[in-house]
Amino acid sequence: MHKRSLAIYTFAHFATDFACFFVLFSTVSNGIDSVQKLAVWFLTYNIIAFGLQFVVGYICDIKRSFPAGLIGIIITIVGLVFAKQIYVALILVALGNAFFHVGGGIDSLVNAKGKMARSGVFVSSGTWGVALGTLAGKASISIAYPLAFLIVSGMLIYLYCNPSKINFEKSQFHVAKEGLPIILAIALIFVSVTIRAFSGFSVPIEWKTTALLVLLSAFASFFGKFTGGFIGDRFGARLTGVGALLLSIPLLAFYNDKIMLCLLGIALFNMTMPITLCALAEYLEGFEGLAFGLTTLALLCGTFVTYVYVLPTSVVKYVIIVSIIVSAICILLTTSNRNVNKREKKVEIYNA
Amino acid sequence: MLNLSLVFDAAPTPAILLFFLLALAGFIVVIGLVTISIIFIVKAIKKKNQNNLLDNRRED
Repeated sequence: MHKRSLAIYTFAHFATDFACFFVLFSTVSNGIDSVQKLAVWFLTYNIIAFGLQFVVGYICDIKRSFPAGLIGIIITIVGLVFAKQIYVALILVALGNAFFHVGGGIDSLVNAKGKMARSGVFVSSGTWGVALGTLAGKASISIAYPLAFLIVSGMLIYLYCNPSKINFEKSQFHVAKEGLPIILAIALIFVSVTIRAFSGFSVPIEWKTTALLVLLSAFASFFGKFTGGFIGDRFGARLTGVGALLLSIPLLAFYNDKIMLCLLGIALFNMTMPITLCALAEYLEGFEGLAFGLTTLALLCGTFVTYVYVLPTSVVKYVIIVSIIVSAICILLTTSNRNVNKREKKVEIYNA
Repeated sequence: MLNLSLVFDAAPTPAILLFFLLALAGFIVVIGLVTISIIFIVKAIKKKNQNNLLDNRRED
């Protein structure tokens, strides 16, 4: 049951992001004439899609049977159908995106049974949705493709992932550091994700000039998110989170012009995503929707700066180094390797 | 994501001023969202503590 819901939500995540970026890069980009207007509307999309998730998440936490995933898919379908009315379409797909992500995010956290891998798998498919949706939008393919993906996703969620029929379990993560005041821990994780988003968008990746290279970059991001949870479950949240970020520093700051090294840096950089999400979910146990929404709000805060200001090239590498180190320190202070220690203790008990 | 720094290199026009105003509005909205999120976090922590207290009492 739980693996099936993961598979369905992972596919639906791809479908939703594909449809949203299809709309953004086909209708919206073609229909708006000035750069300023386009920028403002893209920013509006981000504010609605990323900024409102914590509100939707809180509603879902209070009323667990709220079908946010299905509602998100339906709103996105409506937005896609109204794609000719640019602004309506943009607001609707952004709202649909916000609702869907919360629905899928809660499923990935509450059914995780303490494993970070589940949330990593769920989030990773969005990378393909964004990359392929952008390419499809620019190529102006038929609207039938994103529509078909969404209809299939909606039907599968309705049939197999109805929250009112699911017996929600506790997330049971053991990744958060004990003894830290909750509000301080949440603030540190929020800062970590914000800084990570800012530094991630500040890395100058000038080699991303062809569709193949865009897809390669998406693959690196997907690979990092997908494997981050598995590696975190195996080697511990803190070791994985801090280690991956520190290893990514030289690759992203000094070798961002070398394709293979930069791809490796992107993969390592993205491995921390499931770790911060699950740590936040543990600090806010019982409020997984709010936890998921807070990470996207932090992403919005981090990317907002990069929207309006681009760092001078002479200081980019230093800012990347400092910001990734600060982000790693925040993870170091808020996470532990308890999940691995716990498993080792269990093995000892069985051996005894 | 779109790079808006391109806009800053151009001469100031009403369109750019409008962009500045809208960017400022965006900033205010983001700050507002963060403020609301803090209220939600505090509420959630209070409720979580209450639930923990109830669980402990039940165990006793």
